[in-house]
Amino acid sequence: MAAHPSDDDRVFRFRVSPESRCFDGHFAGLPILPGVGHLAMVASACARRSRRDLALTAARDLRFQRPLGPGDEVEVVLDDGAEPCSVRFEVRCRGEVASRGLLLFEPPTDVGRP
Amino acid sequence: MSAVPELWRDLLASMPLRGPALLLTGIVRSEPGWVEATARVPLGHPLVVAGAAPCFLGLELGAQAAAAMEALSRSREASDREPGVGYLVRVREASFLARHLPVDTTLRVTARLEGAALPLAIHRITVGTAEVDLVCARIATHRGSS
Repeated sequence: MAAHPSDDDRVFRFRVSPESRCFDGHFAGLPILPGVGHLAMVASACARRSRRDLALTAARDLRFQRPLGPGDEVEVVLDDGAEPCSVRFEVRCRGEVASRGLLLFEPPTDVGRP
Repeated sequence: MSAVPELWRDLLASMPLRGPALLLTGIVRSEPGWVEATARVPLGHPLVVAGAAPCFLGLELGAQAAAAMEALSRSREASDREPGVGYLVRVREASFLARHLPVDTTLRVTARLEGAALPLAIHRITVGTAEVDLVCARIATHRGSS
């Protein structure tokens, strides 16, 4: 999955490479990016936005609504969640939401330190 | 944690995944509505970066165990129902108890059917080593229209 810059720091663009090995056998004759492939793009976008290495601790209400296939151009849109260190995301493709949900990350180690 | 070869051999043909996408490596135990499987994330998996597999890859392992349970259930019932794909469509909640899954290591994966209204099914899944759980989640899968 190749990432491309965007002017909006909430929006990250990716292209799902047709050569991605994520499609090998998933599924035979019907190449669909696995749901964890969506999450890989979201995790990459979160790390770039926060400019730190993030440790995912939980996920809530993830919905995979539209399959992504080889060559799809994708936007990952991030917003802060209501809880500390949480991020709401949408993965969009051709104006439709492909997946969305909430991810929770471990707080940075310096939180609470003087 | 040793797999039962004959269960696995029978199951392989009806699993919707092929080749490197199939991370399950065997079935340890199975009963109606529950399965325990083994799995392995190879170092060459496309989501492994710098030798580490992201914890959320456990969701895929759980979905594969759920698909295996569905296939075993069909076989047990001698059902003529067409095999479903078992797309992962929802993760209600997931806890990631470790940052990474170990690669090239035998993992234990369980799936328990919590409810179904076809084509949807809800499963409680766990992924871990022989000693400790690494991922726990509640997922929903869709049989698809195969």
